[in-house]
Amino acid sequence: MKFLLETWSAGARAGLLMFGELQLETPCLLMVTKKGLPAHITHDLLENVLPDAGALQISPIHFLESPPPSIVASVGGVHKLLSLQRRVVVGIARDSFGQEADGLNGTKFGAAFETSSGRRVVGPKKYMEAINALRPDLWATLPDEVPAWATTKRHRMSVDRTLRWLDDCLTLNAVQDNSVLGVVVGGSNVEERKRSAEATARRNVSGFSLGGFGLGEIPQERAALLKSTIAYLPEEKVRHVSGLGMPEEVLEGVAAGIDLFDSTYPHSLTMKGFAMTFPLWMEQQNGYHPLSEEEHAADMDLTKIDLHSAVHRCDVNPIVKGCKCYSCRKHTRAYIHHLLNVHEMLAQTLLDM
Amino acid sequence: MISGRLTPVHRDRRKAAQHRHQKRGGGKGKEGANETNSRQAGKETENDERVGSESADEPVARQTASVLQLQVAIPGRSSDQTGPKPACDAVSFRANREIKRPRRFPPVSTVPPDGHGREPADGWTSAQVLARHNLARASRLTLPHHVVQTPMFMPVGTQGVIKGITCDQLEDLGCQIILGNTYHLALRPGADLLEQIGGLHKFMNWPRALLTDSGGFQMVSLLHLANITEEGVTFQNRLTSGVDLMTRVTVCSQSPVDGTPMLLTPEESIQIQNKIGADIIMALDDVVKTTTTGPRVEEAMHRTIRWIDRCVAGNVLARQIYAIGGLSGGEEKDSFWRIVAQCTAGLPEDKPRYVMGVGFPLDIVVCSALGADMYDCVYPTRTGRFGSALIPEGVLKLTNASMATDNRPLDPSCTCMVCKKYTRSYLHTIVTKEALGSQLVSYHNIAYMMKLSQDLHTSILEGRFPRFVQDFLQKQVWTPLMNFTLSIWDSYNYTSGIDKVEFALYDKQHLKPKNTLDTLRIEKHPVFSSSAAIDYCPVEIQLDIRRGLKL
Repeated sequence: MKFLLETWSAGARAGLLMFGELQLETPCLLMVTKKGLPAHITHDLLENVLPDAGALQISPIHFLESPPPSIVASVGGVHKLLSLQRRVVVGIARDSFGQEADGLNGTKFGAAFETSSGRRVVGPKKYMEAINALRPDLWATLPDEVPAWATTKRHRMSVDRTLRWLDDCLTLNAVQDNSVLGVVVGGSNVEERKRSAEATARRNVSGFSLGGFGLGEIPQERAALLKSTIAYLPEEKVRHVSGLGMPEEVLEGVAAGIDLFDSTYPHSLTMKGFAMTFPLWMEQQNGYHPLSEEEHAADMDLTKIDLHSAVHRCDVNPIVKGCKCYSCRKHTRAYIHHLLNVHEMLAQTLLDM
Repeated sequence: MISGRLTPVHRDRRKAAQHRHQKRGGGKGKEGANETNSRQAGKETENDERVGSESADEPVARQTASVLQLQVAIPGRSSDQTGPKPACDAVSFRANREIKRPRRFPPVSTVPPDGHGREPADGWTSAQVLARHNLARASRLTLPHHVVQTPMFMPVGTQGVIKGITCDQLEDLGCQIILGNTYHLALRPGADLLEQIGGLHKFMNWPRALLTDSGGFQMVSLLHLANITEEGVTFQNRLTSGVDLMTRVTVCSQSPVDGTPMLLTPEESIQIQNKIGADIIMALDDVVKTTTTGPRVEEAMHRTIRWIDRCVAGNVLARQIYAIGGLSGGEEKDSFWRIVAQCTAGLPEDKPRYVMGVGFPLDIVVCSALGADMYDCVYPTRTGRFGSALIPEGVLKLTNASMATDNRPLDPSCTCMVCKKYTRSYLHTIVTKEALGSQLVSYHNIAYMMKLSQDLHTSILEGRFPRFVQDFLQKQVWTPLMNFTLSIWDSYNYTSGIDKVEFALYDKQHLKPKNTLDTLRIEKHPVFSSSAAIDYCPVEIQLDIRRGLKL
C-alpha cells in the first residue's frame, strides 16, 4: 500500500492510494457493507455505482461467527469469498448497520458490540483471527470507542486500552505489511486526543483512523476537534474517519484533512425512502436559482425528496435530471414511488444506487 | 412404489405379440419382462400408477444396466428397433378410455422451410412452429416487443417488478416475457396512471414482452374476498372488509388505494389489460379450485366460455392465444398430466399453449413433452427467497448446516453471476438474513429456468429431445415421492411418443433406483454435501400423492 499526496490547500488534501494495480483517489468514500455486501446492491449492479475500482468497508465483527474465520481462510480471504478482486477492501471495527460499538460497555478484555446473537465482547485475539482470515487491503486495529459524553477518566482508560490493543494487534498480525491503521480515540477531550495521537504516531502504522466520532459529540465542535487532532498526526500518512454522516459534515472533514470516509447516510436515507437531490457540481450551482419567496416560506428541503409522498405519483422525471447513475438513467420517480407503496425491495436497491 | 421397469403400453395386440417374440429373442437381457407383462395383462391393478411394478419374487439378475434409457420408437423405421416393444397391460386400457388419442406427427425434427403457422393479417403477432418431436414443439412467437422462443418459462413480477431484480439483470439473464398481474396493478398504481404514463413497459422500463393475467387467479387465492356472479367478480378491497360476525376473520388492512369494492367483469379486465399495454393478455375465466368437484366445475366451464366471448368482443388489440389454466393448486400429479395431455390433444396446433402455474422443472419438461409452450410460476423466485436453489441435481437447501462448510459455487455448470462469484458457504450465511441473500438466490433460480427453457427449445430444434430428457432425469436425485412421478412417465410416455423408460436397479434387495434419498444414507453426497440438504416436493403435493397411492 502506498499513499501519495498530490496537492493540498489549507488543510485539505488530494492524494492517491495505491494497492498493487488498484488506485484510489482520495478523498474517498467507502461503501458500508453488511457481511461484505452492500445492503441491496448485487455484484453486477455494483459495476454501475463504482465504475472504477471503488472501495468497500467491511466490518470484521460481521465475520466473527458466520461465516467463521476458518471458512473464510479456506476460501482464501475476503477478496476471493466475494469476488472482489478488483476492489479495495478496508476493514474497520465499526459496524454502521446497527451493531453499534457500545462504547460504555467495553471491558479490559475487549470492546463490546451488539450483534444479532447478543452483546459480544471482542478482544484483540478474536479480532485478529477475523482479520487474518479476511486479509483486507487496509484495516484498523480494535479501538475502545467511547461516546463523547463519558467522563475524562473513562476517556483516559479508553486511550490506554486502545494503545494496548493496538500493540496486541500488531503482534498478532500474520502478514507484516503496511496496511494497518492505528485508531486515535479520546472523545471530546483535546488532551486525550493529543496523547492518543502522539502515542499512535510513534507506532509502526501506515495510517490513522479517528475513532469515536458520530457517537454523540456536538456537531459544532467536531470540525475543531478534527483539526486539533490532526495537527498531531504526521502528514504523509493516510487518515480515515467513520461516523460522519451528512454531506456537509464530510466536507468539514475534508477541510480538516481526512482522506477516507465511510458513512451510512445514503443507506439511512434509502431505508426511509428518501433520495438525495442536491446539486453536485459548482457549475450547476451557478445556474441554480435561489428560492422564491413562497418556497422559502413553505420550508422546502432542497437536498432530498421523499419518494413516499403522493406528489411523485405521476412524475415521470428521473430523481435528478442529468444524473448519470443507474436509477436516474433508467427509472422514474413514479416507478420508485409505486415500488415503495407495494413494499418491494427493488425500491431500496434503486435508491441505494 | 415403483420398483421395476416401467413398460410403455400398446393397445395393439399384434404389436404386443411382436414385442414378446422379440424379447424372447434377445434385447438387452431383459427376458423376464414379458412374463411380468403377461401376468399383469388383464389384471386390474388397484393402483394405475404402479405400472410395471414387479412383485418381489421377480429375479433381478437381468437388471444390470446402470443408466436411464429413453427410447424413441419412430414408426416406420423398423430396421433399427432400439429395443423390445412392451406388451399391453391394464393401464393402457384405462389410459385409452380417458384420453383422446393424440395426434401423431411425422417423426421429423427438422425445420420446415416455411414454418407451420398462420400469419395474421396485421403482422403483429405470429406463432411459428420451428420443429417438433412427436407432441413437443419448439416455436417462435413474434410479439410486438420481442420475439420469444418456446418452450418458455416466464418469471412472475406481480406488482410490476420481479422481487429484487432489476430489468437490466433480467435482460442479462435472458428473460423474454415476464408476467404482471391485473388485479394488483389495477389497485396500485392504477390503470389510469399506467395509461397516462403510456403502459407498463414504459413504467418499469422493460423493453421486452409482457403478459398479463386477467385477475382470474385471484378468485381462487383471495376467495374469501371475492364474490363471483354471472356479471363478474366483486372483490372487496382490503380496507373495507371488516369482521363478519358469522364466519369470517378480520382481514387486516394494508393500503390499497381506495376502499370501494372492485367489480371485475370480463370487459373491465380486458380494458385494464389494454391500458397496461401487455403483449399478451388473458381472458377472464371463472376459476375454481382444482379440488372442487361437481356441478360447480361445469358451471365454471360454461361461464368461462361465455366470458371469453365477451372478452374478445371487448378487445381492442387483436391477439390470439390458447391457455390451459387452472392447474396450479396442489392437484394430484396423475390427474395433472392427464388433463394437460387431453388439452394439448384437443387444441389447435398453430397456436401457443400456456400452462399457468407450472413451475417445477420436472413438470415443465413433462408438459413440454406433451405439447405445451409457455409456463409461469412464482416457484423459482419464491423458493429462492426462502433459501432453496435450483440446480440440475434437484433443489439445494442453502439453510442446511452442511452448506456452511461447502466452498463450491451453487452450481458449477451454471454461468450466472451468482454462481461465478459466490460460494455456497457464503450464501448460507446471508440467505434468509439479508435482503441481498434472497435477491441472489432468486437471480440464480431465474437463470436456471431460463437455461432450462433454452435447452428445451434447442434440443427439440436439433432433434435430440429424448436425449435431453434422459439426461435431465438422470441427473436428478430421486426422492421416494418422485418415484411416483416416474411411474406416471410410463403412461404418458405413450401419449408423448416416447416409448420406453427404463430404470436400472442397483440395490437388489430394495429394488429401487439407486440415487434415491432412501438409499443415500451417506453424509457426504458429491453434489449436495449431505442428504439433508436436498429439498423435494412441497408438502401439499406429497400429501396428494400419498392419498392417491393410499400409502
